[in-house]
Amino acid sequence: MIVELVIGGVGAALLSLDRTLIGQWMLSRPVIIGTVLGWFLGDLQTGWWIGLLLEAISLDGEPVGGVIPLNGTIAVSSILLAALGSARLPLAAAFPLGLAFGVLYRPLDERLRRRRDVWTGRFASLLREGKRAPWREAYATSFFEEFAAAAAVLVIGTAIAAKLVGWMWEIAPGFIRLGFQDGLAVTPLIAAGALIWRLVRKDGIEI
Amino acid sequence: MQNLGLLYALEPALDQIYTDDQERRDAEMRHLSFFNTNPYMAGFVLGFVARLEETSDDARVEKLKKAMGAAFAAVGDASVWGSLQPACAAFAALAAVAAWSVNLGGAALICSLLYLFLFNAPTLWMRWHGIALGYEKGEGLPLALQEWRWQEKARWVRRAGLACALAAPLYLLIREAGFVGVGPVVPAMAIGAVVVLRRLEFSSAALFGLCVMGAIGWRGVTALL
Repeated sequence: MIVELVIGGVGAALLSLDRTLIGQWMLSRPVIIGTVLGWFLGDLQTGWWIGLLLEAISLDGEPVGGVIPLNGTIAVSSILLAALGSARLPLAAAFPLGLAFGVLYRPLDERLRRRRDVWTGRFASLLREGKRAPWREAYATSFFEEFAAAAAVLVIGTAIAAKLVGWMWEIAPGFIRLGFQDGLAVTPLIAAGALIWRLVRKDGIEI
Repeated sequence: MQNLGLLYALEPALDQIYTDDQERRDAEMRHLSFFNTNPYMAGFVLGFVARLEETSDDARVEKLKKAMGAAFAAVGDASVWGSLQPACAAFAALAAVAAWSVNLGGAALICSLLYLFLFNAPTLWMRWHGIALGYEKGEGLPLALQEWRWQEKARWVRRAGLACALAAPLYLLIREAGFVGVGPVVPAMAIGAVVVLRRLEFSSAALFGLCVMGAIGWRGVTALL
């Protein structure tokens, strides 16, 4: 149902604000969003499991300095919306689709960051004119832009991409579908290796 | 945008410290300069800067604010992003495996809540307590934090996380493939290969792509044969 996709996408976009703008309480982490979306879409176990895999995979990069890592929030949400939503895409097809969404979202993330930087200049000129800083406008605009971008990608992007990938999945030869299924089957090993590497790596603190 | 966040949080203090409008605006302008730190350590810097605003001249405030921001960014990035966050993920993975093995109902919810608690309990404390501590200690803050032995604590968190990250797949492999024989060896070697490839800067997404391509190739060849 389209209502399910819209509510799920909008809900995930709201939670995604926690990633950089509100709180950073980890509500936007894949393991949490996966659990919430899985419960909402009627398959808590799948949501949680996919969330856990994406949690480990998305720890590849730290959000340090100007680094924008893979967007795990967008990735897990689009996987679950495509697989458990109305499109009912097989998980083996939805997983790479969501991963691609998570990777491709990075330039948009960077653009949104740059748009927020504009506020510094505006604040400076207003203060020079003797006016007070327009906090409400700055925060409301930033929150809305971040939310709208995530919601648009999750609702419209996922709907279109899931339809397209679903059609391609139907016409794809059997060996290609099996290849994607094999890829999904080894993902827990990739996630485990990525998580171990993240904890072994020496960056500032030695094990 | 962290400069705006810092200024927003400082505004009540600036309103109290500077009764003259022009002086307050000058202070606000100063805080619009570039500022960056780890978000979970921002409380310490915030309290520290509020104290400096009361006691030091403008140039010193600016210089020390940037120095402290950078120092706390290094500590926070290593201890929060580098240790606590992956350790919480590893613990959630181990808890998931444990819950799955005993067929615990509501395991997903319990593990997710546990993850949130493990991460937020120390970081919320750091954020909240950091403001008061930064203000109270002022320029003595670095010394006070040194006594907390951040690095040692972060290292222990990391070690605990690594133990969980190793235990979770190990338990699954032994349970699924048995303790002896070649069953668990292949997946364990695959995990080891991922660690080596990650070391060589291959991202997990790229590794997933490589696995899919390899599997498609293998399936295609076997289908042809």
